[in-house]
Amino acid sequence: MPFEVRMGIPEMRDLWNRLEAGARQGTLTAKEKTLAKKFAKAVKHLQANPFHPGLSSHEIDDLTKRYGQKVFESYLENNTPGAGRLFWVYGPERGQISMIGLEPHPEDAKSGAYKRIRLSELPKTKKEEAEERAAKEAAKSKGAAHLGTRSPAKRPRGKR
Amino acid sequence: MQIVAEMDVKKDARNRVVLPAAEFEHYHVTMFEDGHVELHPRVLAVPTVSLRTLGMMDSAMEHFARGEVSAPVNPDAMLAVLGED
Repeated sequence: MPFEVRMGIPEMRDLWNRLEAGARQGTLTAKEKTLAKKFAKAVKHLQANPFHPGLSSHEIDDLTKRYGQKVFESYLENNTPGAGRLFWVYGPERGQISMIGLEPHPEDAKSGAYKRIRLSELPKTKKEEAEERAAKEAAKSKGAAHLGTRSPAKRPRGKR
Repeated sequence: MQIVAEMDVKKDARNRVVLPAAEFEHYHVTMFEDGHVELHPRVLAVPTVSLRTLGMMDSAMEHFARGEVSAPVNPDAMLAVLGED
């Protein structure tokens, strides 16, 4: 049973649409044409078998931890991670695969310079930061409430 | 460069040689027409990702969590347009 491949919103979807439109209009640069061919071939393999040998698909633990579900990486070219890497997840529905990222990022490939980060040292997500802030606020208000019930003149026994 | 070990080895029936002093897990092997062989150690690169790609994935997963993804894509159509049937 083939998988239905969808694109993450917004950037992967926009990239796919831009490459498709450019291919129809004949406006792609040589590099973009190469990317479009490799991208489409990789998607075709993923549809038929996400673990096709040419994709070298494997799970990326650091990203799995970050997003709370298994994230996989596949190579755009057989055994050549330097040619490009696709990141994807199963879902959102059964029988579907969603492409969430492409490395190198198309903008990075244009400008040539970009900041990189180790997968083992990923920064916190917005959700993690919000949870941390909420935990700090809760701890603060808990401490303030506790102080409010004690008379400042009296000290609890055993404490200085 | 200082030599730390030197030895004579004999290949086995399956054309393998054992390197008892080998320090690394992976090597790049170059064989020359005169028969000499060079081994250069290789270390796996630390996996990295561009911050832009990470941002791309973060926003894609935020939408994904709400069930928001694109319509299904058709790679055959793209390949046909590119002349790669």
